[in-house]
Amino acid sequence: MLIDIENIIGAFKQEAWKNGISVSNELWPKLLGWIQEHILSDFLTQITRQVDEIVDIDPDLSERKIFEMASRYMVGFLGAHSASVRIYDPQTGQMLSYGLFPYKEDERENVIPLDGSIAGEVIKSLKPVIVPDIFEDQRYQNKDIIYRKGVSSLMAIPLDIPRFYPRERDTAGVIQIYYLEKGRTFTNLEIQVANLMAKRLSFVIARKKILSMHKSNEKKELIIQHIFRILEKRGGIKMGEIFNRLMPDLSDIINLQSCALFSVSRNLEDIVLEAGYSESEGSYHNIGVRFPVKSEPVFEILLNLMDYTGDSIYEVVSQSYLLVVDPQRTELMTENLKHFATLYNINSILYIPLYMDGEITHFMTFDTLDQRQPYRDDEIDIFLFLGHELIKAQKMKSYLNEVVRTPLIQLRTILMDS
Amino acid sequence: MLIDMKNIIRAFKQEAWKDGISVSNELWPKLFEWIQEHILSDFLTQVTKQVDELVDIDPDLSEREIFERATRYMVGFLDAHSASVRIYDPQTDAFIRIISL
Repeated sequence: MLIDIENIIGAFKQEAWKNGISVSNELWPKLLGWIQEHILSDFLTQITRQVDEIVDIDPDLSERKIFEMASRYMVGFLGAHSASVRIYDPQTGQMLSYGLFPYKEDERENVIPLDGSIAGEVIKSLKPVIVPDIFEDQRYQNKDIIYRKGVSSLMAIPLDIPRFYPRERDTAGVIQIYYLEKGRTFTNLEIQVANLMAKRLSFVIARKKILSMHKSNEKKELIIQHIFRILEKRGGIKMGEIFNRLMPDLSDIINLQSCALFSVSRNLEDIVLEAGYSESEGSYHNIGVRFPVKSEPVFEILLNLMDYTGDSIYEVVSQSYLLVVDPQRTELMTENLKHFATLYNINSILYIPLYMDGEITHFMTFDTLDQRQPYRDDEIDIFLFLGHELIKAQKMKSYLNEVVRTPLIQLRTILMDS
Repeated sequence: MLIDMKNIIRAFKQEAWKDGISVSNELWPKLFEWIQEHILSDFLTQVTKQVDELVDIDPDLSEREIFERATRYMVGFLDAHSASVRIYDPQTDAFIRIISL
């Protein structure tokens, strides 16, 4: 048997008896059968349907949209007024708004602190927090939003999305479900159902990641095909030429707005802009221009000539890339380069060094323009792959040249000797 | 409301009345609360635990082992005698027996 209903009914019998409620003995077996046949079955049907709705959310939607849809289902099923999702951002140590249902711009506070907030408490304890009266709770700091929403109580449920790639960390978040009633009593069942729905949301995110991995592999496959096609047509071409021929083709496959290839002098003192994409009207790539490495701290850090000691949220410095999240606020750029970024509306710059036999011989830059957010992890992964393949192509080209040259030298030696 | 309990209780009341079982009116709100707080809550805990056991099966196992574990859990939870898994093979247009417990 799934649960010991007989035992539970026995306890209820005693409770009824204690309260002086008279019940005919014939009622109990009937009640037992009724609960099993009607109540549990109906309840399970309902729960399964609701959980399935969450699990079946289209994984092609953005993460924000997925969270919004899940919030909508939870609000509907739990008879709530509204719900919001916040995700912990380890870089800033804050809780970012990640979806709201129903969506209202003025009812959203973009960022809240981890410490001293209800959402923060849920993240730390991984347990639900119940707030029967929000106005009386000091942890809910922005009461204006609550006045505007017209809600009075909430339950905050942890959202724990296990990592998918080994280098990732788990995603921690919270779904806050709001109710109109002041002093509302939340039943165990409501909390359990909300927990269950929040837990199953991780299935959608996992499916999203599987799809994204599949798409990423397809893109990598296309990059390899394009590089081989270029190498097949012409031998003895330079890295800059490969880059120039490759990028227009890749712009259909990966989200490229503006990118460039720089070569690095052997003494690591200068860099030269070798190629740029796109070369449309208004492009800022002046091919052939030389810059001293010492002119920008970002170049020195990228080429390992200077250690990175900062911990700013406006840049990410890793072994394989350097991402300037906000050119105007980073300390790795001079005013000169900041002005350049403003002039051409550059919102973030990704730098990827290219190593040949352990030395950085080139690096690529990828700029995001207009209002676009910095490149995501999956996009950076594709660019890193592109960098590896470019280096491989360059090595292959050198190898082929060597193979072609060798018989000629040997032939000349033979002729000279004779 | 998670399920329409009032409706279910009303139907049960009628059933009890038809069978000539007398029940004090004070019983119904108490019963209503009791079912929600104890029966449904315990039931959901059990079901969730069992489903989680299935979801948490090690994906590094072979498919056959995964099916074997899932079948074992289901037999245990449903108090069954045994179970088997068959998968449809479109090439042979037949069901292939994966495991039998």
